[in-house]
Amino acid sequence: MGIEPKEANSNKKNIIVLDDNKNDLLMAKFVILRMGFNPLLIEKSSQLIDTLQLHKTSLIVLDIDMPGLSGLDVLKKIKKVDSYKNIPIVMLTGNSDIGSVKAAISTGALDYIVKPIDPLVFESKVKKLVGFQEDESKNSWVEYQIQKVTHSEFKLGLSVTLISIGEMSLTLKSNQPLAKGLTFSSDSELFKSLEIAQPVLKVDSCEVQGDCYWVKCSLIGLSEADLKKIRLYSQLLISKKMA
Amino acid sequence: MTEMMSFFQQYQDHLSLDESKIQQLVELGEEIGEDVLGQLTDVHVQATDELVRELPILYQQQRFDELVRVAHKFKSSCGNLGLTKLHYLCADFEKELSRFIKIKSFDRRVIQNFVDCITYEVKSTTQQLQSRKKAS
Repeated sequence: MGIEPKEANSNKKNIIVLDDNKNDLLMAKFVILRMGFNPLLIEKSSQLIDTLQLHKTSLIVLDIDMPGLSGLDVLKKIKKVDSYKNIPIVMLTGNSDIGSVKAAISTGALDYIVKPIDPLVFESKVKKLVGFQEDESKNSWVEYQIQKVTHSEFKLGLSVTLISIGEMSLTLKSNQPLAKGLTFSSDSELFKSLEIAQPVLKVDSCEVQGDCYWVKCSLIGLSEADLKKIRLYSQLLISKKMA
Repeated sequence: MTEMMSFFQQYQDHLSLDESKIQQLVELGEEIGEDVLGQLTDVHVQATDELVRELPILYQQQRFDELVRVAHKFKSSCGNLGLTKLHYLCADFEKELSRFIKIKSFDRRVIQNFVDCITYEVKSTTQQLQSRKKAS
């Protein structure tokens, strides 16, 4: 019947659906197939970790009401594992138990879908969330302050979004103020994807904008090749925003 | 039987089989090249066999927690296939049972009415679904 996890198609994004109801699993499978993704269907919570280990996963659709380990319990477990905690999760719920939904959202689920599955609602939420991880990893990162005196590093607990990037500078939006002159290295996925190894940034200015901070930084010590990559990325960013 | 039928009257406004939902499933199947309606029907029929077997046993043995679980699970399958009346019957049954469990007092006539109505509607809709599956 195709309920068991099947081999991932390497060209397609994998979406895991965990639900003890075979009918809901099938329904989810058909909609995910229509979207061009690869559904990995599992009926038991115990199969989840194995499936996550075998397949790079773009989204988990998790039923709240399951016998034994509930969807909420499973969600809590996933959020404790470093390798899986950033995978977006959407909850499936068969009733209007707002308490469970609220608990799931506060534990880290990004959204919920009410059963019976409406193909259009399911598709629109899944589509939105599959792109979520990608966008977040490109635009948000955690920085490391360079302690030049001690040569040790400590993590700045920043939630950062890239606003713009130029040849020698970038502007980011942060949830914390950063002192002028602060030097730190970035482990942003953005720089990783551009193959620029932890570039050093120096804060030039920091201004309050509503409930966050706009921080202008200089990019220090980049090679000509790095600058070329940043220039190209910057052009792409501008054309994306214009589109 | 008369009491069951008058209880059943409350659900007359809901469709037994929502044709627009069936059509949506047929179209989904055409788009992905799979017999969506057929596969969902087969799984549903399997679930109804279990339900018809389990409902009276669980009721007689007063395993109300398990009855809630069965009603909850079946409700969702019915919704997926456009069995609206059955979906609402299961939803109300689940709600009433949960309320009874909470107050620790069980109105057996209400429970019996739900069990009878669900069993009756299951038999009728299973036939409708099977013929709709053949037709598509």
